[in-house]
Amino acid sequence: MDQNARLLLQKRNLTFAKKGIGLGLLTGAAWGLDGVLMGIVLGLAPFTNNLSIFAAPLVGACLHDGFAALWLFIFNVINGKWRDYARTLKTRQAKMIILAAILGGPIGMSGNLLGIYFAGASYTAAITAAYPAIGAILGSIFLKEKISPRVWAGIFLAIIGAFVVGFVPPEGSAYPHFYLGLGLASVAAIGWAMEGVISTYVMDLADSDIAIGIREMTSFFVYIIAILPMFGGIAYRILFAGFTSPAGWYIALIGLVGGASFLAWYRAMNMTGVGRAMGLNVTFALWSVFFGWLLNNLPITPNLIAGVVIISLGTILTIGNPKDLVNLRNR
Amino acid sequence: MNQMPVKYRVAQVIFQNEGISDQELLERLQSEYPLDRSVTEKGIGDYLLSLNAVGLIELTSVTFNNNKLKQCYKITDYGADRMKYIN
Repeated sequence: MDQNARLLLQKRNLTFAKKGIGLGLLTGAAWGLDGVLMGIVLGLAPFTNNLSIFAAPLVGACLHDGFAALWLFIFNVINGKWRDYARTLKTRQAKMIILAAILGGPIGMSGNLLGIYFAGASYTAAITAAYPAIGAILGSIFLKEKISPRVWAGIFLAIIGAFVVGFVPPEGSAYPHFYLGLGLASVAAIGWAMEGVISTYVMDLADSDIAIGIREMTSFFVYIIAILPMFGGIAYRILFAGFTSPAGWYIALIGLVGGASFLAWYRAMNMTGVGRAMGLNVTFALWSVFFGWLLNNLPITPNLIAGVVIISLGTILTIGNPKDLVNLRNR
Repeated sequence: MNQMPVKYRVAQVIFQNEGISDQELLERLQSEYPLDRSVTEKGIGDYLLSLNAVGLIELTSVTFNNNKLKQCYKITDYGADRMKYIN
């Protein structure tokens, strides 16, 4: 290979790797904004319905994923990729995308909400914040991803930072089913991590934009067909009320932010590997503080500042050297 | 016509034609997927970078051709193994 060709090739590979890192950072920022906006909207009617504390946020999640799926489909139509939806659904690996969607969407989200109910927000946040580490471990075992000690350190720092940001002192013995709550929070963390590893395996061959489109669509239909019926008529009443109230239409717009975040996350996992992409995704905790302060008058406390500093250091280490991303795996 | 997704087809064409260049691949895919606006030099180039990064394909040669980079690819052992489950 001549020198000019080698240099041009290196430059092109490096640009691809840097783009993957940029998308990893974007997914964290967009997910932080998405969470703050969803928190505001779930405080509006009809989601403030006190008949079921679980139904309202799950209806919100259902609407969110449904609108995100719609925006992603429109995006893929604009990019001329929409025919790949049907083609991908006909492949063997489509079942794996659907499995990943169920693990990360309804199972992950339900585990998180039930974990908060049974064990409190602090312990649930501490456990669920570990999903990048679980994802990185599973990725290095099953996908043989190369993760250097520096990147491992970055992932763990980002997790500690996310925990510090979300931590509030536990409330004594208010949780009679505490260990059940811890178990359900673990289900959420494992579900999210497994989603990342399974979908990354599928995206070796499948287009990431199509995989995330199918993922969001599946998540929406599983909520509608399997999760919401568990709450009887209440969930559907909230769902239909959502369409006739401004809150439902706000979620339609938030779905655009969520769709962008998911699109960037799936692309980043494909371009930089599961461990790095999840390490960058968990920076949503940092962005939640920023957008919470900007949009919702979140008071800035010392633990928020400490958490943000730790996440930032972790992110710098996680990004590492983009040259390491040219070959992601030990094969 | 029962087609496979474009990225799958990129890997399959490389599997069946060791040493195929990016330009030959693009021409072939454009004739197979005439209605897909995503089958462009950039679109296929991104698929090739992604398939290369995860170790499904590897470069066999890179040369300058008409002031453009001409890259030829072959499937790796891992890629050949994944081809068994392509449908």
